[in-house]
Amino acid sequence: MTKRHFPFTIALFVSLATVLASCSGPQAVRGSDTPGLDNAAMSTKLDRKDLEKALKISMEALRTSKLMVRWEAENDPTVGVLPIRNETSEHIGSALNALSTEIESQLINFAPVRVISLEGQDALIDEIRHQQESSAFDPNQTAKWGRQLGVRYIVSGKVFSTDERTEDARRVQYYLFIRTVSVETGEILFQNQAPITKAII
Amino acid sequence: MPLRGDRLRVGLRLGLAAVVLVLLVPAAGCKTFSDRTAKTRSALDANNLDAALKSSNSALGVRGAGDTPAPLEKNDALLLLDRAMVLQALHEYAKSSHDFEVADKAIEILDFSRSTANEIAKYLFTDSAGPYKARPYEKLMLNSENMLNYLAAHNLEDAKVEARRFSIMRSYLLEDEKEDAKQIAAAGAFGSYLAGYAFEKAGDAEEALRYYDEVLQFEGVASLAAPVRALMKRSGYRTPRLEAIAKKARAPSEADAQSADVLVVINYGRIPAMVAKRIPVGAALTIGALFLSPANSRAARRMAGQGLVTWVNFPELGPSRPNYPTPGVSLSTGRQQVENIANIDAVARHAWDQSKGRVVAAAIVRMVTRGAIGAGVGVAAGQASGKGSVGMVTALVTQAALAAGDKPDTRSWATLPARIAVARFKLPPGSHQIDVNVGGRIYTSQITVAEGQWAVIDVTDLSNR
Repeated sequence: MTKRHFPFTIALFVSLATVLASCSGPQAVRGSDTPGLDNAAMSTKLDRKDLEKALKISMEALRTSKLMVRWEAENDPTVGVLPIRNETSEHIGSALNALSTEIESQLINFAPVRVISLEGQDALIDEIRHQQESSAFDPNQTAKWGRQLGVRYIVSGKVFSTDERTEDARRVQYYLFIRTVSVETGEILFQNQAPITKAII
Repeated sequence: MPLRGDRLRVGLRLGLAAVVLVLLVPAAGCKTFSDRTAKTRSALDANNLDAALKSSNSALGVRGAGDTPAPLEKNDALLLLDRAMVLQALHEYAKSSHDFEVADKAIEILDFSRSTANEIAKYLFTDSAGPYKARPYEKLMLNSENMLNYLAAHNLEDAKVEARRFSIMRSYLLEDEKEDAKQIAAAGAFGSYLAGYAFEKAGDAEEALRYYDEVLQFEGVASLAAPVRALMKRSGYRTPRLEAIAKKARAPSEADAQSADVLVVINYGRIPAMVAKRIPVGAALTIGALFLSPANSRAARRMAGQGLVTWVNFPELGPSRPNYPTPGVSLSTGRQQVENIANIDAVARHAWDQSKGRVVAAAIVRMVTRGAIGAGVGVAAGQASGKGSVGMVTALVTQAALAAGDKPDTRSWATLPARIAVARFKLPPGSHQIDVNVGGRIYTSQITVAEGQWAVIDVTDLSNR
């Protein structure tokens, strides 16, 4: 190609590419029909795969903890699971609600406990959410809610993040903390941290 | 068969020239971004929010405020920002937040991407060929205005999420040597004020003080004196600015402790939109000279000297309204003090003044490129036809078609308020009427507060009349 034809050819290429690009469009797909659909990260928010990973880490730690021995020695103690507090730079409230429910499911299925649901306790949930918005969220407060719920143990959690940005990338490192508190004494009997990292690079 | 080969080449050249012209000439009729969004701004000027929402939806190509284009196309993120402001003015906070958050994510992705095809198109045709890259003040305002949505809806958890996002962006911009720290502080004062308020109400005194100190780095805000004094009793965080303003606070009375804390935030006026402008090439060379390479500068002067080009298309920030009367806030007990905490108009103008030379230089480079392409096509057509006159005419037509396709990049977030003011006061428990006067238009809010509660009232009036 001679030099004088080069800009002309580029102009033609760009014009044709623009026309051709307008021919494709999005389409709805089903996860079960599209291998790997659930594996792709779509954003720096937490998705199902992240929640499954975080939950797996936390629940395995719980299974092998001293608390499990204690629960087995008791006669089906009652446990309540509080909403998980969001201390991150992402709007992940609905993902954290799903995580709370999944923790309940796991406890029901493998732990020697009876799980008392917060459903129907709207006033208490409102109070918990209101308190969780503030930083005054301590084991003694958690134990108080446990007494209101009529349970012996309370499982609570919070997610923090460190968020960094450069000219061409952004990385969010999440830390999910899960803890279990004795309602009677306010003592923290189990605590675990599960890390998850998401990025746009 | 050399003759046949020559004819084939001639045919190909003429065919390619025709294809380029056919593809480019329709671009001449395309509207610029500010043309496409003009109806929304006209409706806002008339204070007709329903019409503004309808125009916003129309620009996005969707039917209702709950609809979002999928997938987002080139300028949809910017159009969502426009609609988010209209929805905020309508007090549709959940929908406004949704638009802000979708736009925020899209802008983040666009920040990290620019394809080679976009770069080529930008180099040849127009600055608006590529995806929109938000300006620093726009990024800060996005999180700030969304924080206001959540605070007005009494949702501290999500307001704190926006506060954290705001901080990440503010820190990133301050670390960027290209950015003007003073302008970042000016653009961020409003966001820092709201972030401080969110953390104050969440009971995190230290975090609140850090944000309030950011506000005070920009300018003194008297309404922060009492809150800072109260917060300093609960945290050891100190700066000279915080200590100085705390000294100005009067001692709290018993009635203060029993009252509710009310913050009225007034977004008013509107920053100007970008407009397409044509200036003589000589004037353009004066503005963009510093940012042009010597070769491009010489080529542009040669083309201007030969009379091949006379005008350069480029975008310009429209004129600002000279002044806005400060809004008034009245209760049954009298008028409240109102403080202006952000002049977004001045921030936007400063940002444009800083980038104007580069934008004009880019327009000149495109003009030179078009000249080279036109000459190339003309030579090809002249050789193909064997007539120099055909080549000359083809060159001129090609240049004209390319010039007509050069749309100035008028993209900007032009529904941002020109000014932001706050009024902060205590109210005894009970029901109260709050009247806000923005340019003679009265916005009345009825609120009922209990002891120790807080409330944020948003008044967004984006009319420029």
